Amino acid sequence: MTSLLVLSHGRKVAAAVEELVRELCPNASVFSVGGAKDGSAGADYDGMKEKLNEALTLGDVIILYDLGSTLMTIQAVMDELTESELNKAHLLNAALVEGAIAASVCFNAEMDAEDIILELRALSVDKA
Amino acid sequence: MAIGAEEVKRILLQMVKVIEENKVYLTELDAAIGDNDHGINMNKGFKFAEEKLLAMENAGISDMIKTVAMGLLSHVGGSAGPLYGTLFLKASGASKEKNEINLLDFCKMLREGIDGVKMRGKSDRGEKTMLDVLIPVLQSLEQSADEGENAKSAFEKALNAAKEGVAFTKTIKATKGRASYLGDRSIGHIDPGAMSSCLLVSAIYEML
Repeated sequence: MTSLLVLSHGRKVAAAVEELVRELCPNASVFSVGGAKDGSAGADYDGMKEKLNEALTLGDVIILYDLGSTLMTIQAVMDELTESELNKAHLLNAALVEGAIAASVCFNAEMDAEDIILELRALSVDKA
Repeated sequence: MAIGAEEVKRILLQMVKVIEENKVYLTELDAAIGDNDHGINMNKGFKFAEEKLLAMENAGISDMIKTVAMGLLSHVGGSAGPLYGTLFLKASGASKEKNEINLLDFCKMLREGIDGVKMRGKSDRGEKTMLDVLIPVLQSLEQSADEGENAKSAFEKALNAAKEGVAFTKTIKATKGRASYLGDRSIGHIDPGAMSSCLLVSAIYEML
């Protein structure tokens, strides 16, 4: 099963995007991590590691993020993955909310990971 | 000259101390061109690392540096976490199996650390970041190593290079990180990451 992992600087932002995906696709496998460990704005390396590993046990994982430290932190997590895990973890620079909505539609259509990725690539934005 | 695990531990603990002493200052720098948390975040990561370091007995150099790396990755919470985490993690990798490190070893550790930071941040010198301090520091240390200088005088020169690097960040525009949203308005402000890197170099210098 392909999962979606939503990452944001904001705790509530990540939770809200996860909630949106569940509403659009009740059967979706969706995970989210938002904010730093203490709940303030930032990135939580351990939280991301835990959720990514959990999602990877289910199959492919599409990872959407907002920017900056969220990206660098998930990349640091991904540095620790094995080759086969890395092949299943797809870090995409699609716009976060739009990408999550598009992924929900794709999940409803039971598309495979490869096709979902193609759809989300169309929503790429520059996230320096 | 070469330093052993005990000295490395003292240096790492000194880094914790200088960051703690300067957490308000670093956060003020970040308030001007960033998101107002650099000092607080760095202090969180280093204090966590300190706790772990103090609990380690007879640990090897590489393991202690890795402990700091993981503390920063897990507890900083901002972009400094993955950047400094990567810097220390690469330095730890470059010091594996070493019971003591000399100036050349340190240059190798810093070089690999810098390469990691460049990769992680997709950045290079001249973008108003910690690299504007770390790269001149490495160049200065490499030159000192070539000339056979002792560690104390090598780090004295490196600290001067670090301070010049900090001053340089004040003159340029940020093109990486959140400060880049400000464009030309970032000119005239010191980069907080450059300053924290300079403080870490000063911690090494003080303990030699």
